[in-house]
This record gives sequence, structure tokens and C-alpha cells, in this order.
Amino acid sequence: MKIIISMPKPLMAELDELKNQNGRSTRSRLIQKLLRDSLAREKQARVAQLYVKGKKTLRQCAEILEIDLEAMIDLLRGLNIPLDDGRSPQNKMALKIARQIRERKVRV
Amino acid sequence: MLFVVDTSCLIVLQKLGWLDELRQPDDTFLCPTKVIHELKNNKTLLKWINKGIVGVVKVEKPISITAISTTDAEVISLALERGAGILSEDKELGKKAERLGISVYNLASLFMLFYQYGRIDQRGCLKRLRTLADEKFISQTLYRQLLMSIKS
Repeated sequence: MKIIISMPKPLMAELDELKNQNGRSTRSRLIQKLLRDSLAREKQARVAQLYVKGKKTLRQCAEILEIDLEAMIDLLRGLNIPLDDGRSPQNKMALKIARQIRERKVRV
Repeated sequence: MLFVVDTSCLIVLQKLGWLDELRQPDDTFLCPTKVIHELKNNKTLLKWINKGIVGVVKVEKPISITAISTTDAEVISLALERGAGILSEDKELGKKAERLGISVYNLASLFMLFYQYGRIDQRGCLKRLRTLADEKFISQTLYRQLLMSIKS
């Protein structure tokens, strides 16, 4: 399929420079690659937000992106997203134990 | 204590080189067979599991939970079957398990528990929590809250 796009001159120059550096044969191929990478990143960010907002589990996010759980964990770390958040039951448990330890110290 | 370990925790433990933290004489760690299937490409982890530190168990009657994957459901089912807690880094899995009355831990709460029971000292606990925060497995906010709590 063919499309026609207009582009400012400086952007076109940058594109050509990148094409020459990468040794890509045509502008079309380079634009396809850049678009593919950008769409993949957008999708990853969108799916990561589903995890952050509590809409999907880690596994479900991994399934959407067709990656394994380890790659999903690495992706969240790469995006600076901790696996937990303040409201997770795991965190509440950690804080509950911390409280119990503190109360015991006070009693002693 | 008895824990069902989710793949997410095993992966984090492996990344940090901490798998042997689960070698605890007073605790039992189990995982359902689906977790093992999920690790089919991770030979190192499978080899470690084969040492028997984590017991692999077939879930008798996996429950069906909407909006959750079959592996997540097996983790929850096994915990319900055995009356165990769940060890998982996945907060959404944690929320679903909590609604069913299961105690849910991540590595930060597990280390807090180890400290509470005197299996690790304060310094060891803080060091582990610091690493979890530095490696972005827990938030800096949680780390600071736990740090203040332990040191106070």
C-alpha cells in the first residue's frame, strides 16, 4: 500500500542523514522501521498503564504484548514502574508486619 | 508457614541472585504445575526448582475466576486448597487473592516476616529492602515507610 506524506525540509534532511548512517536502502523502509518501533513502544506504554491502573494482572499484560512474564517485569522496570503500589495487599502486609514489630519493641 | 509462590517472585529472586532465600527450614514453598510450564524457557530456574526447594504440585480442582489467566487461577486455587499464603509481586493477582481471604506477600513483606521471626537481623532486612527499591521492584515510598518503621 502506498501513501503520500508531506514533511518539513529539516525533518526530511534528518531522515536522509539517518538513512545514510544506517545504510537503509530507501526512505520508505526507514520510515516503516521507525513507525513500527514507535507503535510498539506506544503499545507497551499503554499496556503498562493497564497494570498501573489495576485493570490487568502482570500475566494478562504479558499476554497482550505476546512476551513472557520476565520480559514484562523488565519492561515495567525500564519504564520506571514499580511492581507494587501503595495500595497493593502485599504492601499493606509489609506495613502491617512493620507495625507489629514496632509495637513489640514498644512493649519490650 | 506455607506459601504458594508465583512465577513473578521466582523471576525477581533469580534476577537478584536470591533464590536460596527460600531455603527456610520452617517454611514450605509450593508452586502449581502451570508456573513450571511458564518457565519452560528459563533453564536455570527450572534446574533450581528441580533441587526441590520449591515443591511442584498439581492443582486438584482449579477454580474459575473471571478476568484472570489460568495460571493466576491455579496459584489462587492451590493457596485455597492448602490454606497457604501467596507470594507474588503482581499487585492485581494480590488484590484478587485478598478478596478470597488469602494472605498475600511480596518479597518485601516476606523479608519483614523473616525479620519479625528473627531469621534475619535488622541490618540484613534493611539491606534486602534497599536492594528491592534500588532495583525498582518496590517503590521508594514503601522502602522509606518500612525503613522508618524498622528504625523507630
